[in-house]
Formats: sequence, structure tokens, C-alpha cells
Amino acid sequence: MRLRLNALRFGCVFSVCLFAFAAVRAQSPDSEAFFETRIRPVLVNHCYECHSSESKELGGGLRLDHPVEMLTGGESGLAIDPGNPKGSLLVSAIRYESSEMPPAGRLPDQVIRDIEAWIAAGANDPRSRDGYSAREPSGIDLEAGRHFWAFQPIAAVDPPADGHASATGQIDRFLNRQLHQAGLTPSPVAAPLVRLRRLAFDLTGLPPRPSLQLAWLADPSRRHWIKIVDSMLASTAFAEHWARHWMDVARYADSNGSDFNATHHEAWRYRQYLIDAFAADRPWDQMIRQQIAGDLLTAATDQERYDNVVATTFLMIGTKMLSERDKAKLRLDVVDEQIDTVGRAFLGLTLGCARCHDHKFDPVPTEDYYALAGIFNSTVTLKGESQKYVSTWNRVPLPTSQAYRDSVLEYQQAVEALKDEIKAAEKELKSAHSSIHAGVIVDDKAAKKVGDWKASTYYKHFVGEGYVHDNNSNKGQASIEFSTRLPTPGKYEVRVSHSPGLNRAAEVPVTILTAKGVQKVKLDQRSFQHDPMWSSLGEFSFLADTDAVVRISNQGTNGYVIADAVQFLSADERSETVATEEIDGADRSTLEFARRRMEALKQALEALDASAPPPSPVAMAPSDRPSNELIDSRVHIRGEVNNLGESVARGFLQVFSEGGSSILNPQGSGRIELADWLTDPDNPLTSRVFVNRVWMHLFGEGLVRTVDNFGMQGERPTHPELLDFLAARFVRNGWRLKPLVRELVLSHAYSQSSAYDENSIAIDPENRLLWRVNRRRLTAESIRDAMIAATGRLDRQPRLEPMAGRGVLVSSNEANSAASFDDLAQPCRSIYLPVVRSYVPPMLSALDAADPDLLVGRRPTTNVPTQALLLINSPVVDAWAGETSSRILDAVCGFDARLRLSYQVCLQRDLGGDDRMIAQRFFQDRIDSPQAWHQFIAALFASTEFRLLD
Amino acid sequence: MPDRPVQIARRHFGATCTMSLGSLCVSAVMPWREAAASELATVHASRVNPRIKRVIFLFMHGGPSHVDTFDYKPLLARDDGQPLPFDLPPNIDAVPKLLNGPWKFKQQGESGLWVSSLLPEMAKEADSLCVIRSMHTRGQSHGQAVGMINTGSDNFVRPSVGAWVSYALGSGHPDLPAHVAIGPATAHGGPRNYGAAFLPAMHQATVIGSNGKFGHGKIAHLNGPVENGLVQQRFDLVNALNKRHLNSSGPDREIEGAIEAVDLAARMRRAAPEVFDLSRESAQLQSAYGIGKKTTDSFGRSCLLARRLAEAGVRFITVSSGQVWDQHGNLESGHNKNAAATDLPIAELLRDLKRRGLWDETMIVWGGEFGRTPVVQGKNGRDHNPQGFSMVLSGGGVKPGFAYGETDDYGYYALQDRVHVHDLHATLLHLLGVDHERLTYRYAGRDFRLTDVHGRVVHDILV
Repeated sequence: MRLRLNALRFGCVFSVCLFAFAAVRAQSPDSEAFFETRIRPVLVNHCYECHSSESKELGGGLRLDHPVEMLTGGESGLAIDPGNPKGSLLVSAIRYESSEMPPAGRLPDQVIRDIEAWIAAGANDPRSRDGYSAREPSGIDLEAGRHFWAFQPIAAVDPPADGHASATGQIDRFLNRQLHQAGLTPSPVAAPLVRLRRLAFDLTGLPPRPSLQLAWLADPSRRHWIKIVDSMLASTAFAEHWARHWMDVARYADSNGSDFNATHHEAWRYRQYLIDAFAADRPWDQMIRQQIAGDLLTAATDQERYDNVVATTFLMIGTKMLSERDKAKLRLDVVDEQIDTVGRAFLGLTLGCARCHDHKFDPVPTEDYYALAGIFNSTVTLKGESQKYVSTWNRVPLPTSQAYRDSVLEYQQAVEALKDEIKAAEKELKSAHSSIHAGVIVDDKAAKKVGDWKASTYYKHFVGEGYVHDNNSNKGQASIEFSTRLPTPGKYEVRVSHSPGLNRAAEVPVTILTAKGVQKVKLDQRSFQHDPMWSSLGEFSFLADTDAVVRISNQGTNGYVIADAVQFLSADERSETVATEEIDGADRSTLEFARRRMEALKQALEALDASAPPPSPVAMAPSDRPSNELIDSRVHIRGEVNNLGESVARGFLQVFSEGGSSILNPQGSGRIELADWLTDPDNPLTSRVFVNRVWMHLFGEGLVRTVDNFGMQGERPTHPELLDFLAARFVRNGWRLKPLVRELVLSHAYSQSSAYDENSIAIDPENRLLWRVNRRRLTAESIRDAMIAATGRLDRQPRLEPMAGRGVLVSSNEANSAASFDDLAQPCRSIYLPVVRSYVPPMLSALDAADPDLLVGRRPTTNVPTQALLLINSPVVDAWAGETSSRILDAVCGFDARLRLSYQVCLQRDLGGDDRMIAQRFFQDRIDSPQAWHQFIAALFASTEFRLLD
Repeated sequence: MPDRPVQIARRHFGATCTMSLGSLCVSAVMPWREAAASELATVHASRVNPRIKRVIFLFMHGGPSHVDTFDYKPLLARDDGQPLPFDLPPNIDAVPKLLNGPWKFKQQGESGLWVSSLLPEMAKEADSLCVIRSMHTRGQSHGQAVGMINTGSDNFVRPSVGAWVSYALGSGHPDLPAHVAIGPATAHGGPRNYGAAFLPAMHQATVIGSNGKFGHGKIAHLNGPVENGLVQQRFDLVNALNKRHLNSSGPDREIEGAIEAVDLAARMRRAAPEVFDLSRESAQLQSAYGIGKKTTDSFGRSCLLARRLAEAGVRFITVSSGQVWDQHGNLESGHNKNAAATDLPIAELLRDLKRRGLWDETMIVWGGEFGRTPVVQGKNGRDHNPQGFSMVLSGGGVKPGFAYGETDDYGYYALQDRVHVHDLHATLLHLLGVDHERLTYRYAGRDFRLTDVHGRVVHDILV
């Protein structure tokens, strides 16, 4: 088969060549002969395999074996535009400019030119036009789509009449009706400590303290339960735990990961924003507005402005191919990530599908995607480069306090004042110098140094700010060159300033470039001839048009070689200095004073710099593009950068509203309008999706089990009326999380036992109707926090700025170097650990912590051997087990008391019969062995009961 | 036809799995997979006529120069120092001046395959190599191209090739993972390049060493901070506690799954040390791999371990060189150094697999994320070249001593019989008996594939 095809192809190219020679003048490109000899063979041999009625699978929906089909084109649009080869997709494809066709190799240039000529001449196609049937227009029926449950308005439902005595609220009445219909009854209330443990982990992510366990056991009343619920809802731990849930959806990370693991220095502000907002029970619709368009919202106070801007970090922290050199493509990819995230996070819709074609399952035509793309394309996410080809992101300054601004101003003024003083001191120093030193002086600072020269100010009479010496080492490798152009040619005495001493070199080689060429002398640096420390080299002539150069070397020297300055004295100047051999003592002390003052000022500047106020804070946040760059987006056919279709007005999803879904008069990018649309009380999805996620966190499964997908491919709600009831109430009560959680955990359904029941399991094996509570795994963070809590060392302080001190990259991007993040052992809550992409601690990822590369609405629960190995063998876990066991041994005496405390601390329950037996079998005669207790606690940590909520 | 016996071995869930000829219900086959039964799809792919059982990917991270190894370009030697007679692609730092490398090309073996003097040991095996000289990929920077070769995506987070293979085939060993990465890089995507992304977590690679270094060559946390006897004691106690929990709860998938996982971890602790113990090989073989010699020791160990893992049933093994092949400058000294470290171990791996009869059922893939420009960068280097480069295959199912496809006269652009990285992936899956268009995973509302909407099996290189 392959051989035959190749032979055909070869034959074709051959025949094309023949015709090219024989018929080139005879055929005009609009002739039938031209088509038959130059075009049709190419199509047959290179295109029909994938683009004909015979193709096994039609490529891109395009047929090239039929004249009409060829004109109407495939999924990418019109294949040829007769008369316009440049605008024909077929041409850009065979030129390998859009897609690359044929994929096996580029056609010869002559063939490409033929096809262009043929199209330019009108694309005369003599093939039979039979057998063409017009295709259905692309098939999304928005009207039908609106009937799907998720797009229906939220129904006003009243809870049914109570069907079971166990009901403690309206939620139970909904659940009980369906249970009753299925012939099921709710399970009885779970044991008090089981309930308490469940509640504490669900609300705060932390185990209930032993004192609370005792108090609750003493009074397991509903009144007491409500009190405990309310105090947990009010705790910081609640806000931390629930912020972490949203961070999973927000794909929170403190670094970019991907190709260029850039540090997100400012992401922590967003994390802290979430914690503060959940602590304050800020309305969810307000939080959505802040996260989508906070930078554009007006704010009454600085704090509000701060929150608004920081919240938009949500749009920024997706992982990006920052080093992509095709920036147009990168921009499209970033927009895509934002649309996909907003779609799944707030609407439970997988909009990413519509980038390349109409959504295959949901009523989302590709225009809707580009209506949203226009909004994000009009938003600046990436800005500038951190190094060549590598993009970095937009940053927005944050409001600062008056005190901060005052301190900055004060600092700046102080710096300026000091700099002025330094300038003045410099002047003084110079004039003090010139009153002592006449002639032309070149200081060591201006000299060209080769090799190692050590700076010094030890000997105080130097010129300028100090002098250098060769440290009496590396002989022959250090030299220093003083050069200057003298004001007039002629004779000058040349002197060298150097500090004297017995350890100085006696024969320092000096070369001088003079009018007579290079002259060499030796300088004895053990003493000097003229005050303060000048030694004369002699008299030399210099030219007008060449520099005078004095080069001091340490070649062949024995002892320290010093270089401070070189002086050129004309005859006049010399007589002056010689006349005042005795330098005025007053001048000397003026110089000394000027120097000291200079030194003091410089030190003061250093000290001031060290105490500078921190740089003014910025957020990783978007901005709108300037008004002349705000544009609607064109459809990118098949999602490709250069394959452009119609422009689509910025707007939202058409299926949501029967009227227009475009933004009529966008204020800026359209993000404010998008935020308003998402949080409109009549938007059927935003509240359902949120309420459903909360339900999932408390019951293990959502009422819609596919929490990130409410589309056709998602699951249908198990309790549609309950979902609508909760969503409607949530909106009516001001989009507040805490009352919602409170209502759910006060239900009987939440307090049920998880006990196995053979009859019920036969009817509802997946527990969709909630006849019992689902047994659930703790989050990775809670497992870690609970272990540290057991040691008694859990530090409840927040950790801010986890990435402070990191550079642009979390590590060098040279692939062979790794950064290290050993924070896991720190006793802080897990939410405060940095989330560094590519460096998620194995312990957390093995326990299914959210992958920060992805939006995770519902974490998977896996059971892989790695998990068991980590829990049993990780040195960190082992250390926590050791600490916990010593604490228990110190706290109480006696085997039974220690065993009881171990269970209280690790599993938050009292001892049962089997427990003692298992322990006794393990300990045998080692009941006082610290090592055995260490082993025992380590096993409790690794046990299923530790990480499961019954 | 499946290449190994299929047994139904699931214990607790009462789930049964029916077999039909030609389709493979992988979820019930191997205990390694069974451990995570809750996260398995039922049927992933039908295996049709598998030619190989496993892949060893020798990843030459950084991008070795194809025009200095396998893609002989006489005109490059002739026109050394001349301007490039056509345009450079956008966004590159090289200047359009041709640079001929210092190595000499020679036709090798009976096949007469061209291999340069840079890789003398691989050259000896020329008759078993299948060189694709017309590779092209997306990504002018490492990040994109590394993502493309390892995950099939230059911009989005996608499962790695090894994860897809693990997902499709499961492990060939009851107590070892299907997917292992030796010496993977921490940058350029790091774990993403051997990760599972949205596939179940068990498909991500088990990692040995990092950044081209073999390290201690062990699976992490197989051994504890306490002595071995105590670890065993811990395992036993955890088991007792978990069983008590199960007794009091009644049948429960989660607890049962965890008990299985502990059991499997214990079995892995017993099975792995043997497979990972290189000292079980003769001193002679070790030295043939270059173990004990400074330049080749680390990569030699990696290759020998790869062979032992292949033999044990691991499906996809990546051995990374570390990002060493990125010679923007000092092409000669850099490439010489890298070749010295890898050439001998690779050739010996091929020979060793052949001696053991494993070569026929294994595919060894050699190559980088892209090639290098035939034009000069700086004084004596070459820039990245995704427009055209070579990959080398060796093993069952592909034509030995064969060169396929062509770049232009200077080796810049792949011209004839172009093979995209998607095509290479499709071909590897095909060799494993898996149809790349049918190996899908439903995530975020749609079915994902390793090859996205691309990929053609390169039938021309198949035997």
C-alpha cells in the first residue's frame, strides 16, 4: 500500500515536471488543461487521502474532491477564495504558514506557485458538481439548551412536610422525602465523639482539643452542639480551612512552575485576603466581584482598595509558559486559562472546549468563548520581560498607610540632605587637597589597575579617599597605570605619593611614557622625600598630543608596593612647593578634618539605607488595557493564533439569556460587567455551584457529584429541589458562607452515623440519598496539622511572605540545580507553607493535596503504596511521632492512662475493648519502653482511623 | 492480543471484569493497579498487535546537535562560515552564518548509516538504529519543547507519555510501578514531565535520582528512619489497627483500599531492593556499562538500572542526561563531554538487551527536546532548533540500520517525510499495541489524548 502510494507520488511529481516544461506557455491558469495537468494530480496524490469522500476520517471536515465542497471549506472556514490566493486557507496551509499541509512534507515550490496562479485566475474547477448536499449549519440549538436543568432559573421550593422524626431542620425534610420514597430511613445519630471529631475537622481542619472532648461528653445536648458550632465558625481556624478549599479551585501557587519557575512574591497577599474575607464572612458575590474586577472597583477606604486589588490575583496565578517566544500565542493561552478557570470555578462549565470549535456537549458556541476572550484580551495580565524572551506579569501598586508614606518621605528627605552634605564635603576635601598638593594629580581611584590591589586608608596622609597596595603577594602580576593629558607640553617633575615604612619595597619598577619614549626608574618606598608623603622620580619632558603615563609594577619587588597618587609639577609649581617645604600645620589639620567628616557622612548614609522603609507594596494583579487597545476578539479558527475569523462583541454566554448577551457599552475591558453578570441573583449557576461545593466539603459528595461540571457531561443533581432551596436561600441571605455551613452541620443528616447497613446498601450502594454519612479522608493539610497538633507544638500564627528573599526564580532555571524548601517540618499550619510548583512536598501530594497546576474542585482520594511508605517511613512523620510519645509519657503515668491519652490525642476518642488488646499484644513486656511508645504512636499516625472521618 | 496472562484478582469489591478477545480489561490485572481500584477506568484501550512491551526513553535534555551526530550534511562542511542562504526562523539569537562541527561523519556497519565520530560506541550499533532525521516540534525555548516531548503539550498541563502508557497497560510486575523516571530535571516543568496531571496519581513516575544524577538509586521512603526490623513491626501494627477499624466499620472501600496499599507497600519493600541492586550484575557487565569510571559511572548505573527495570516489567523508563546538551557556546568541548558520559552506557544497554533477548520487545528512544542550529551562536555554539532534528529509535518493530526523512541541505528545516513529536508519540503507542486516537481520558468535560487532535503513526519506519 505504502509502496504504491509512493510510486504514485513519484509519478505525479515526474509528470508535473514534464508538463511544466512542455506546456508552460500553452496553458493559461484559468484553462481546464491547467487544472487537469497541474492541479488535479496534486490534489489526488497529496490531499485526497484525508480530504475526500473516500477518506477513512475526513480531515478538518474539508473535502477537496468536489468543486463545491472545496469552495465551502471545512471547519477552518473557506478553503479557497477565487481570485485571492493570499486570502485562501489552502495556500497558507501548503505554504506551511497556517497549518502544515500535506503533513508528510512541503510541496515543491513550483507546485505551490501553480496553485496560487490557479486561484488567482479564478480557480476554474471543471470537475463534476454532482453529489453535493448542503450541510446542516453548525448545530447548537440555544433554545433547546435553555431547557437543560442547569440553565433553568432557580426554582422557588418549599421544604416538604416532615417525613421522619429525626429531622432537625428543613434540609432533613428534603432528604427524608427521597429516602422514604426509596424505602430507606436515615441512620441514627453518631456517637458524640465521632460527631465532634467530624465537626472539628470539617469546620476548622484541626482535631478537637482533649478539653473540648471532655466538655462535650459531659453535655452532649443540642444546645451545647450549637454553641460549639458557633464558636468554631467564629474561629480563625475556620477561615484558614475554608480559604484552603477555595485555593484548590483558584489553583493557588507561590510560583509559576512550568518552564520558568518564577517566584510569585505577592501571591500570599491573596491567600491572606481569602482568610480575612472568610473570617469576616464577606458576601460571596462581593468576593467574586473583587476577584474578577477588583482593580476596577471604586473603594471607599484604603483597606477596601487593598482588598479589591489583591483579590484579582485570582486571575493571575495560573501556570504559564513564560518563556514562549511567540507572544501572541502566549497571550491567547493565558486568556484561555483565565476563561477555563472562570468557567469552571464560578459556573461549573467547561468553556475551554469552545476555543477550537462549538462545545460538543453544552450549548456554548465558539463565539461565546471569543466574547469572553475579548474581555480578557482587553486585560493586561502579562507585562514586560524578566529576561530576554521571558514574560513577567502585571503589578499594581497597593495603597499604603499615612505612616508608611510619611516614613518614606522622611527617609527620602534624609537621604537627600545627606547627599548634599556629602557633596559639600567632597568640595571641601578637594580644596583642602589643592592647598597642599599643587600641579596635576592623578589619584589611584582614577588609575587603571591590573591584578589584585588592596584598598587601604591605614596611613592617613593619602590623596583622595585612600590608597592601594599589592599585599606583598602575586609579584609580577599587579600593575597600576596613572595617565593624564598635561595642560601644556614641557618639563615636569614627576612624584609618587606612597605611605612609607620598613616593610615597603626598596626597588619598585616605574616606567614613564615621556616625549623621549618609555623611561624606567626604580623607586624606594621605604621613605619619602616631600611632605606629606611624596617621592620624586625625577624630571621628564611630555608632549602635547600624547598622555603622560606612569606605570608602577610589583615585578621583582620585595616588600609591599604602594600606590596612592602621581603628581606632575611644572617648574613654577615646583618652586612654590619647594619654597613651602614646611607645610602649614593648619592646612594639614583642615585636610584631616575634611576627611573625617567625609567618612562619617558616608557611614551615616549606609546606616540610613539599612533602615530604609520596605519597598512600597504591589499586588500581582491585572489592569485594563488603555482605552485605545480595548478590543473585541476575533474567532480563532481551531484555536490557532493566525487563523482568524469574525470579530465577536465582548459579552457572556448566550444560553443564559434570551435577549442579547453582548455588553452594550463596555466600561473598560468588560470585567466589571462580567462580574455583575456572574453575581446577578438570577444567574442560575453561580449560587448553585458554590452551595454545591460547600455541601461536598461537609458531606463528601456534592448534590451534583461533578462539582466542576454542571454541563451535559456532568452528573445530574441527586436532590435538585434541595439544591435550589439552598441556592435561593444563600442568595437571599446575602451570599454568606457561615449561615450556610451552620445550617448544614446542624442537620440530622450531618450528624448521622456512618455505620454499615446491609439493607440500605442493597438499595442505595453509593449512598446517593444520604441514608448514612460518607466516610471521608482528611485533607493532606489536616493530616499534617493533626500530627503537629499531637506533638503539642502547632504554631497558630500566620506566616506571611513565604517567598521573601527568593529571586526572580525559585531556583536557578539551569535545569540541573534545584531549590530547596524544607518548610514541611515547620510547626505552622499547612496553609501557610509555600506552594511552590514543581516542589510540592511528596508527603502532601501523596495524600492528594491539590495539584497547584490544575483547578481542583474535588480532590481525588487515592490509595497508593507511596502513601503508606511515606506515612510509615518519612523522617518528618517519625519525628512528630517521637515528640508526641515523649509528651504522653511525660504527661501521665501508668499503661492504661497513657494508652487513653494516646487515643485522645491521636484519634480523638476513648478506648474501646479491642484497642487494649491490640496494644497489649504489641507492647507485651515493653510497656515502659519509650521506643515502643514511639513505634505505637507512629503506627497510630499511619492508621486509617487517623486520616478518616467516621 | 494481550501480551501477558490476564487474571481477575480483585478481592473485596465484588466487581467482575469480563474479557473479550482483543480488548483488555487492565484494571483487574495487576495488584499494582488493583491497589487503586477506585481510580481506574475500566477499559482504556484495545491492544492490537503489540510489537513491544516497554519503552526506554534516553532523554538528552538540552538538545544535542543533529548535524553533529546523525544528520550528515556535506554542504555544511563545504560552506562553513558562509551566510545561510535562506531566512532564519523568528526569535532566535544565532546569526545566519553556517558553522561546521569538528566531528567527522562516516558510514557505519553493513547498513551504511551515517554516524559522526562524536558517538563512536553508538556508531558500532548502527545496524540496529532507526534514525528519524526529519523531526520537528513546537517550542523555541526549552520549557515548551521539553513539555512537548514529554507530555505532548508545549503550553498546557497534560499527563506525561509514561503516565499514558501506565494508564493504558498497567505494570508488568505485580509489586513494582509501571512508570519510572531516572534522573529527571527539576526545572523546565520538573515533575510535570513525568507527572500524571489529571490521570489518576498512581500513573506518575516513581523517581530515582534527579537532574541527570543517579543519586543513591533507590525509591524514596522504602526504608525508614528506624532500623528494618522496627519498620516491619510498624507495618504489622498499622495492619492490626486498620483491620480493627475495618471490623468496626463494616465493609468499606476506603479502608480496604488503604489496607491493600499497606500490603502492596510491604511487598514493594521486599521486591524493589532486588531489582534495584546493581551489584547482582557481574563486575564485567558493570564495567561494560562504564560503572566505576568517573565519566560514565552515573549514566552507566542509570542505564543498567533501566535494563533491570525493563526486565522486571516496568513499562516506561525515562533516563535523563540532565540538561547538559545545551551548547550555546563551546560546542566542541560540551558535546564531547556529554558524549563521553552517555555514549558507552547507551551502546552497552543496546548490546545487553540484545544478549538477553529483550531488545526485540523494547523500544529505546534517544534524543533531545529539539536539535541545534547549523548556524553559529556566539563564537562557537549553536542555538535551539525545533524546526528540524533527529531522534533515534532502536528495538522491536522498527527498521534497523535505517534512516528516515530529510532536512534541507544544511539541516535547518525538516523537509521530506516530516515527523512531528505527536507522530513519534502516536508511533510509540502503536508499537505498544495502543491506538493513540482511542487512548482517551475524560477530564473537564472532554476526552483528552496524548496526541490531542494530532499525530500520525509513521508506518514507513515500521518493519
